[in-house]
Amino acid sequence: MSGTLIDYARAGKRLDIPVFDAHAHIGNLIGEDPPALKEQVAQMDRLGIVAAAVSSVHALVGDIVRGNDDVADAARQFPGRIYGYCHVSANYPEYMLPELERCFRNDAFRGIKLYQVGPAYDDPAFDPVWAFAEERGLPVLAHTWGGNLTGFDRAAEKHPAVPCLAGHAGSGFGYQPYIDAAKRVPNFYLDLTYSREHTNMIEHFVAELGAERVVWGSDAPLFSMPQQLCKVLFARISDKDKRKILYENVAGWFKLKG
Amino acid sequence: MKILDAYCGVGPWSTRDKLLPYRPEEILALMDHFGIEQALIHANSAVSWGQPPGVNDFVIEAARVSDRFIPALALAPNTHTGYPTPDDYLAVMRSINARAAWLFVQGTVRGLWRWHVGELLDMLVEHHIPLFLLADQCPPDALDTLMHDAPELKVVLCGVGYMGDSWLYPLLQRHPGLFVCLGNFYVPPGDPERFVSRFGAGRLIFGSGLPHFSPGGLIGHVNYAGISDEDKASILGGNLQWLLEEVQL
Repeated sequence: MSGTLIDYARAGKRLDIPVFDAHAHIGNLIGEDPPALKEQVAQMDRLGIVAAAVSSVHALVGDIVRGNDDVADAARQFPGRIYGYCHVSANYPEYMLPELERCFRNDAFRGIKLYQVGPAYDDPAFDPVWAFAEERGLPVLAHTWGGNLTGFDRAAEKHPAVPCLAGHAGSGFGYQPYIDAAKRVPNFYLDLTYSREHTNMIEHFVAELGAERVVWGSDAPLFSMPQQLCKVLFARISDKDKRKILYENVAGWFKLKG
Repeated sequence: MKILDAYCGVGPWSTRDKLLPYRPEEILALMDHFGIEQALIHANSAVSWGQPPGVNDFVIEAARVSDRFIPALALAPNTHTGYPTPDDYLAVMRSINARAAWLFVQGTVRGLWRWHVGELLDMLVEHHIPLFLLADQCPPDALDTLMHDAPELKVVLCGVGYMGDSWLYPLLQRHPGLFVCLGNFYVPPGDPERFVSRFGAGRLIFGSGLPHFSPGGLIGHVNYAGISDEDKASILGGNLQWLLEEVQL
């Protein structure tokens, strides 16, 4: 690496430090044409993103089996670049364990994705998910919004061995509940994915919790991948902290090599 | 690459998050960090209150602090006293070298109807002053009517969010005087490449949304885009500079 990470962002230069996107998708939820998967990977190349963990929008909107199939197919097309989240929902309990077992027969799946619909994340309906994650040592990424954690902090507290990534931490200025939860629950991590970036937010998270408790994802292709990455690159924190956020904190959970 | 910020607020709000800076010197420090040379500024309180008395004073004061702030006045009709008139606004703009105007459709500005704000619009057209609007305060149909009635008016639309292209693209095709600001938050998947291929780089304008929103992501959105350096320079500053240079006070 030559220069500081902010120099790379200012020059639009490809990063030469490892970066892992812990919160990405395939397909698009917001009604606009998503870039093809190969373009998504090409953009990862342009930025220097080593790999991404994705879930499919088909699963988010309810077609869970098709969504997980999409993810398996994407990972097959781009081995080592695309890893999978297995999406399950308490609204479809009949698919919960079968999908977990089916997905994780495939080594490309490295985590579980939950969405904020239906029961709270600490509802007994999710017990099979937590037991499965605990047994396999899998990270769980859950959609949260605006400080509404929907029981994800309580679930994390009950399952201390499971790394719990709270998606969209700080969205809508609702940052304090995330900080309070992370201070109380050691395995509760703040995922920075958010279309916007409130001024001083990343700096505040790092000051309050340490960079070890913050993780990065792009939410691409729903959002602009470089926009999401540059939130961190431009943040007024040390490069050492940026490296933790962009890769080091999550590399072990996702069993990344190197 | 010279970066000009088209969408930057100064001054207090009635509700404020503790993380948010608002004083001119705080904004200048952030501009330094992000490499923003100059910013077109409006009063933060105008966004939610329209134009209460004295709101433009924050902009005028900030412009006195630094010439890196380019003032933009918030306009509103006043049917009680008739003051300020369009000429009064123009006199203030001349005195502080303001180069743009906002209509925040809040408070006394209830809509963009010609019978409501027509005199102000005529003044903007006559002096080639660009008008800034917020997308969530301005329904697409109202914007279409406004630009149809004032085809020479240059309008910069800020705050286009998710799923905006479905109505934005037809408006861009219908009205060559319509420009789009990146701030708060126009980052559709595939952009800015798709926008540039469809409309050219000349109609996309960098704006940060400071102080609510941090500029770094949007600067990176342009810097890493698969477009020419010339197009990047236009988006990051050239287009706004051209709009402001067109103004005839």
